[in-house]
Amino acid sequence: MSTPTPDQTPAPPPGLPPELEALRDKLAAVLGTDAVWELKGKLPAFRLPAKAIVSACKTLRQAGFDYLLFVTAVDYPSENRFEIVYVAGQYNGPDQIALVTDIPRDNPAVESVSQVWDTAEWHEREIFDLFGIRFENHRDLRRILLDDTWEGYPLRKDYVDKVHNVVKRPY
Amino acid sequence: MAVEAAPLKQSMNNYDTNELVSVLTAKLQASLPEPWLVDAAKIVLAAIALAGFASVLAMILVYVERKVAGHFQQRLGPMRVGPHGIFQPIADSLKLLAKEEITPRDADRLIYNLAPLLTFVASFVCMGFIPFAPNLQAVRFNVGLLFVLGISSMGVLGILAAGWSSNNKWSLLGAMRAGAQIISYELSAALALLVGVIFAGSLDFHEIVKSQEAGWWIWRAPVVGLVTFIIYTIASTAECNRTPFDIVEGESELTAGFHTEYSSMKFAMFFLAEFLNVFIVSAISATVFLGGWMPLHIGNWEAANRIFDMIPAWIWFFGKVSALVFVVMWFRWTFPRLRVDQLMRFEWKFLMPASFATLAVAAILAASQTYFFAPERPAAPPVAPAPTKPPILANK
Amino acid sequence: MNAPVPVESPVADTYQDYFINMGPQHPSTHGVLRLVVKLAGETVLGVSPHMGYVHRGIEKMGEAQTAMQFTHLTSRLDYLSAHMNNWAWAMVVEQALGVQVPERAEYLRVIMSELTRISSHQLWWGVFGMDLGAFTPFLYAFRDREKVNDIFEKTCGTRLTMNYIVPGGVMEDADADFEKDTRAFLEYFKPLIEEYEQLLSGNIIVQERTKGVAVLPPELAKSYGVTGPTLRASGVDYDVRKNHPYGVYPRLSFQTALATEGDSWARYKVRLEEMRQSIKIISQALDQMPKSGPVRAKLPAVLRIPPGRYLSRVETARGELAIFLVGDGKPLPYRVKIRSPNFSNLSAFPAIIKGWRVADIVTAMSTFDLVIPDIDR
Repeated sequence: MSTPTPDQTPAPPPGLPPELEALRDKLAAVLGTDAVWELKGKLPAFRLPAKAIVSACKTLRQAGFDYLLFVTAVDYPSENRFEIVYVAGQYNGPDQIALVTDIPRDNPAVESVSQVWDTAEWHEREIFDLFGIRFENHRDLRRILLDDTWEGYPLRKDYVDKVHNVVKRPY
Repeated sequence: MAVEAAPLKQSMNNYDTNELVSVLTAKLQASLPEPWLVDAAKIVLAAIALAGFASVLAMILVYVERKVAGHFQQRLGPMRVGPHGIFQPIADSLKLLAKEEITPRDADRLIYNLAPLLTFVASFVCMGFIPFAPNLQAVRFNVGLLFVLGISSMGVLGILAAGWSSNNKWSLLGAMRAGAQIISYELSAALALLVGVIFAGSLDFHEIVKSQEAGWWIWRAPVVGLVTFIIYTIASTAECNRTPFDIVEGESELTAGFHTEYSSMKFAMFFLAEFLNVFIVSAISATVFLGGWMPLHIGNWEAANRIFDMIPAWIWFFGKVSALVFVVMWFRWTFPRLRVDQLMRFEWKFLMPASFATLAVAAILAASQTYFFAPERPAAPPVAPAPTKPPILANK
Repeated sequence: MNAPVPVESPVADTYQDYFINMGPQHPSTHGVLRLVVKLAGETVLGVSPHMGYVHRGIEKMGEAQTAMQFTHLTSRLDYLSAHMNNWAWAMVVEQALGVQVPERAEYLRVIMSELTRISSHQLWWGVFGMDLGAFTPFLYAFRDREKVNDIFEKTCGTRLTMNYIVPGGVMEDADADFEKDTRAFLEYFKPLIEEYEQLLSGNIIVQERTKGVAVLPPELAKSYGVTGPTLRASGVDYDVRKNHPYGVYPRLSFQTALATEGDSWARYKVRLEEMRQSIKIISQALDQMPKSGPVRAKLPAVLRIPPGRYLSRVETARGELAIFLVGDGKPLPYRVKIRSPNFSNLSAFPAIIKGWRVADIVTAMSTFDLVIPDIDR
C-alpha cells in the first residue's frame, strides 16, 4: 500500500482493535467450537454450519442480543452456494455481530429463526421471495414483495426477466 | 295554505314582504275564476320559488364552504373563476352535470336510483315550513315543528338505501354508522326543540316566532335557553353528518361512505341534500332559539326596538341563519372526528340525559313564567265550538 | 375508557365476520399498501398487510450501479428522510474505502439530517390530523414545511430527493444564506410547536381517540425489531444516535424523547418532542460548525469496493436504517441489502390491532408513521 492520501484514514495497526477482540472472545466462548471467527471487511462475523444456526441464534439471544437487525442472503453462483447472513445487535449495548452460514445452491433450505426473533418472520419471507430459499418451520412462508403468481427469484445472479411475467387474471 | 298574517304590534317598513304576498294574491284572485285555482296557483308558485331558492342556496353554500375552508387553512380558496371565484359553483354544477353516470354492475338498481331521491325529498319538503318572513312561509301548519322532525328523519332511509344498494362493503359500513348515528341524535335534537316549544307554547313555527317578540329564547330564558341551544347545535351537527360526527362519510376511512359509488346527478342530489340539511337545521335553530325573522327586541325598550325594526325581517332571518351555518362550517374545519362508539356513548350517556334535565328545568321555568322581561305569550286562539251535528235519524 | 374488544367475547360472536380490503388506493394507508382486514361488525379480528406495490428492485439495481450512482436510489427509499438515507449509504462506502470526512461536511450532514427529521415530523403531524378528520393541521404543517424546503432548495437544488450527502462528504458547500435561513427557521418554528400542541394535543377528541389505543408492549416491540419513535414510545431507550453514535453526534447534547405507555398518544407525543430536540441539535451544530473548510474528501475517480462485508446504521425519522454492503473489489457492489425501519415496524402492527375498531386502524397506522416505498424498496 502506498502512503495514504490526507483524506484517507491511516492503515489500521495489525491485529484486532481491543473492542473487537473482546467481542470475539466473549462470543466464541458462548457459541462453541462450531463458530469460526471471520472478519472480512469491517463487519465481524462468525461462520457456522447450517444445522447449528438455530441453536446459535438462541444462545446469542440469551447472551443479550435481543435485536435482530435483518436476515439476508448473498448469492455466489460460481461457488454454488448461498450465504445467509444474520446480523444481531443489542437494544442496550454497543455490540453487533453477524452470523454467516452457507447452504447449497440447488434445493436451498435452512431452518427458520423466527422462533428466536419475530423479526425474522418477514425477513425470511423476503429471502424466500427474492432468492427462493426455503425456511423450515416458518409460520407462514409465502411471497411478500412480489405477486403471488410470480415465477423466478429476481435477486439471484442468474435471474433472467421473462417478458410475460405478469399473469393475466380472470377479471 | 298561506293565511293573512295577524297584524303585529310594531310597524314594518317598505322592504317587508307582506306587501308582496298580498299584491300577488290580489292579482291572482283577479285573474283566475275559481278560489281553488288561486290556491293551486299559489302552491305551484311556492314550489317553484322554493326549488329555485334551494338550488341557488346550494350553490351559494358550496362557494361559502370552500372559501371558509380556504381561509381557515391559511389559503384563499377559489380565486380564478370570476373575481374571487364567485362563478366557481356554476363551474362545479356544469362539471357535475357533464359527468358520466356509472352504476356498479351488481348494484340493486331500483333502490340505487331511489336513494338519492329519498334523501333529497326529505330535505326539500322541510324547506316549505321555514318562516323566512312574517308572510313568507310556504306552509303554515299548526304542528309544523313535529312534521318537520318527522319528515327530516326520512333522510336516513335514503342513506341506508344508498349504502346497501351500492354493493360495496365500505358503503355499507358508512350506511350502518349513519343509521345508528342519526336515529340516536334525533332524540336529543327533538328534546331540545321541545324545550323551545314549551317556552313558546305552540308547535307552529309562526307562533314560535311571534312568541319571541319580547326577546329571543336563547337569552330570555335564563341559562336554559343557552344550554338548550348548545345541545341542539351539537345534535343537529350530528344529524347533518358533519364533522365532528362525519364518520358516516369519514373521508379518511371510507373515502366517501355511503355515496362512494354515486356519480354525476345522483351524487349532486346527495351533495345538495347535505347542504340543504345544514341550512334547514340552522333555520330551525334560528327560528326556535334566535327568534327567526323577529328583530332583536329587548322587552319593552320601545326606542331600541324601533331602531331594530327598521331592518327588514328577512334580513334578520338570513343573518341569523348565515351565522349558524358559518359556525357549523367552522366545526368542520377545526375538529377531528369521533369514533363510532365514542359518538354513541356521547349521545346516550351524556347528551340525552342532559337534554332531559334541561327539559325538566324548562318546564319549571315555563310553569312559573320566570323569564327576563314580561312574558308575552300570545293568547290561545279561541277554540271554535264544534258544530252540532244533526241527530242521526233512525231508519224507520 | 379505551379498551379493545376481546375477540372471543360474545359481542364478537354475534356478528358474522367478513373481510374488507383497505386497498392499495386508500386515503389513509400512506402509500400503496393493501391491508386485508377481518372484521366482525366494526371490531377488527385480524389484519394482514400485503405489500410490494411499489417494489422497484432497488437492491438488485444496486448491483448494477457504481457507489456514487446508487446515492440517487437511496433518496427514494423513505423519501421523507432522504438526507439520512443518503448518509447511510455514504457511511457504508466510506467505511469500505477508509475515507475520512472533513469536519465541516460532518456538521452539514447533521444539520441537513435534523432539518429533514423536523420536516418529516411536520408532515406526519399534518397527516395525522387529516386521518383523524381535522383537515386544517395538514395545511398548517405544509405551510411550515415550505420553509425547510426552501432551505434545501437553496443548498441542494431539490426539495424532496436531495442526493446531497455523498460518499466523501457533501456535494457542495452550503449556500451563503444557509446559516441565516436556518436560524430564522428555528426561531420561527419553535413557538409553532406549542401551537401544534394547542391545536391537536389539547383537543379532547384527539385525546379520546388516541389514549390507550393500540398499545405496543416493549417486549413485543423488541422481538419484532421495531425501532424509532414507535419503539421509544413504548419505553425502550434506543436511539442509534446515542447507542451507536456516528458523525459528530457525540459532540452534540440532546435528550431522547421517551414515553412509557406505548399507545397512540405516546407515539404522538414522542414525535412532537423529537422536533424540539432536533431544534436543539441544529442550533448547537450551527454554533460548533467550522466557518469554512473543505466539504468533500478527495476520492479516486473509480471507487472500487474492497472485498468484505460492511454495515452502516443511521437513525432516520422512522427508525434505524442499516445498509449492508458486500464488495468484491470491483466498482459495482456485489450485494446491497437495505434494512428498512418501516418493514420491521409494520410487522408488529397486526399483533397489536386485534380487538380495536376500523377507525383505530387508521389512527394507529398514522402514529406508526409508515412510508411505503421504504417497505417495498
